[in-house]
Amino acid sequence: MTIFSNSVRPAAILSRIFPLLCILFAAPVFPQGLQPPPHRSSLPLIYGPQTFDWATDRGDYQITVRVYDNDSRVPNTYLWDYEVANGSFMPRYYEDDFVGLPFLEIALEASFVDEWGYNYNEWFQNGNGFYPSDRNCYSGGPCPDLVVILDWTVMGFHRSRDDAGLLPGQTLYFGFTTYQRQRAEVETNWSDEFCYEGFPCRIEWRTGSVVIPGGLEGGPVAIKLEQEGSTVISTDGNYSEDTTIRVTAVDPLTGQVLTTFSGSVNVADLSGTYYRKWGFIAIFGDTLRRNRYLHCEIVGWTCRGGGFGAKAA
Amino acid sequence: MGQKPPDAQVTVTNFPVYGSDLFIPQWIISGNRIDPRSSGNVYDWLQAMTKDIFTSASGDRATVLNAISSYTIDVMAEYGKTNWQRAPQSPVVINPYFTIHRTNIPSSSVCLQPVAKSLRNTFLHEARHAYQASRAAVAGNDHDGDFLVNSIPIAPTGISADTTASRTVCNQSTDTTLALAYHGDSVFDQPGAPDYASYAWEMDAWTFAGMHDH
Repeated sequence: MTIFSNSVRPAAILSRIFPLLCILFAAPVFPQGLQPPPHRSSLPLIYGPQTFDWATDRGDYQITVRVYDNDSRVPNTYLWDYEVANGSFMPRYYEDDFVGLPFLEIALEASFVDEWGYNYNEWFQNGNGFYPSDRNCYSGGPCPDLVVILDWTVMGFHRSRDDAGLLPGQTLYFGFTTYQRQRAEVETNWSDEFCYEGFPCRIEWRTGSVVIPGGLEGGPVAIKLEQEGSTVISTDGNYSEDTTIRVTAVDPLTGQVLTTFSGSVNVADLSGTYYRKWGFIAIFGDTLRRNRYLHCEIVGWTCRGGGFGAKAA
Repeated sequence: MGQKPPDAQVTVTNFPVYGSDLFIPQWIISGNRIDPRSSGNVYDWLQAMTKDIFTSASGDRATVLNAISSYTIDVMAEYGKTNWQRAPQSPVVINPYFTIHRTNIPSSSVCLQPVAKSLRNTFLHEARHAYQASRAAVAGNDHDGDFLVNSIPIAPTGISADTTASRTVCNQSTDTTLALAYHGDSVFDQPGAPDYASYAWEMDAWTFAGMHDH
C-alpha cells in the first residue's frame, strides 16, 4: 500500500488529496469524548508509534502512526491507526469562512481498493467515518488512475460552515484495515500550498516510509482452490467420497503463485447439507461439520488433503 | 428424497477466493464398474458398499444373495423391490435415497423383525424374494403358481410354505402382524384379498433379512 505515493505527487493533484483541509466559518462546535478504540490495546503492535510533524505558518500538528496485527474483526489484516494531535494550529475566519480541520483524506493506490476493511473515525458523530461514496477524489472529479481517496470527517458535517474542526490541544483517531502488507509509504517529503478561495496557507507534512517486517511483499493474497484428481470411494469401511483439494496462495490480480506465503487458511463447505454418520470433510486431519471450517497450514505455497464424508440426501 | 445431495461448495473464510469457490459433486458415478452386479447408472458408493455386502457373505446368506441377478436404482416409495422371475435369479431395484441406506445404520423394525444395517437388510430382503422365486421355479415345488412353495430349505422354512397351517405373517403397509393359513399347493392363493399370500412373502423376507443383516 502506498499512501500519498510519489507517483501521485504532482502539485496539480495535491490540492485534491490533502490530508487536512480547512474550510469553515461560523461558530465552532467542539467534539467530545475522544478515545482510541478499546480493542487496540490488546492487539500486537508491529509498527510504531512513529510521529510525524506537520508544521504550517498557522501552527503545528503531529500525526502518529501505529500498525497493529490481526484485527479480530477482520482476520489476517493489519489495523492502521492514525492519531492526529493538534498542537497549536488555530482555526480562524477568512472572508466568512472558518478555516480549520473538519476532515481528513488519505490516498491509496486504486489497485488496493478491494482490501480496505473496517475503518473508523471516532469523531464522526453518527458512528461511521467512511462511506463508499467517499472513494473518489476531492472536488468530485475523477480520480487519477492510481489514486482513490478515503475521507474521515472530523465533525460529521463535511465542510460544514458550523465546524471549526480539530482545535489546539485536541486529538482524534482514524484508521482502517488492509491485508497484511510489508511496506507502506506514508508520504515522503511532501509539501504543497493549499489555497481556498484565495486564502493562502502553507501546508507541509514530512514523513518517512513505514516498513513492517514479516508481512507481505507486494499485493494482497487470495486463495486458489482446485481439485486434484478424481473423487474416489474410501476403502476404510465408511464409503466416503474422498476428494483431494489443493489450496494455493496467489496474487489476486494475476493469479501468480506466492511462493513465500505462509499462513493458516480456513476452508469451509457452504453447501448447507449435513454430513451424516461419517459427516465430515476430513481435508486436513480435522472434521468439517456444518457451519465449521478447517485449517490448512500453508508453508511454502500450497497444502492439500481430501476425504469428503458420506453425504446423505 | 429422490435426489442426490448438492455439490459441496468449498470456500475460504479468511482470505478472498481466487476465481470461484470449488464445487465438488457428491454421489458420483465415475463410470468405473465397481460392482459387476450393478446395472445402469449406479452411484459409486452404492456399488462399493454392495460389492462388499456380497463378497463378505457366506453360507445361507450367500446362497440367498446369489438369487439376485443384477440391481439398478430408482426413486420410489419403497426401500427396494424385486422383479421376480420364476428362475434361479431375478433382478432387484434399490432406492438409494434413504439416509439409512447411505449410512447403512439401524432403522425401525418391520413386523417385529429388527433392522441392524439398513442397506444390507434391504439387499437381503430383496434377495429373499428372488430366492422365493427361484424356489417356485423348481419343478413340482409350486403347482398352483402362487409363489408359496412346498419346500424352501433355507430358514425360515414355514412362513412361505403353501400349507393350511397357521403362521404369523406381515402386513408391511401397516407394520402389523397377523395369523393366516393358506389353501395348500392345489389352490392358487391370491397375493391380495382374500388370501393375502403377499403377507407371507413379506414376512419370510423380513425375517430372513433380520436374521442375517448384522
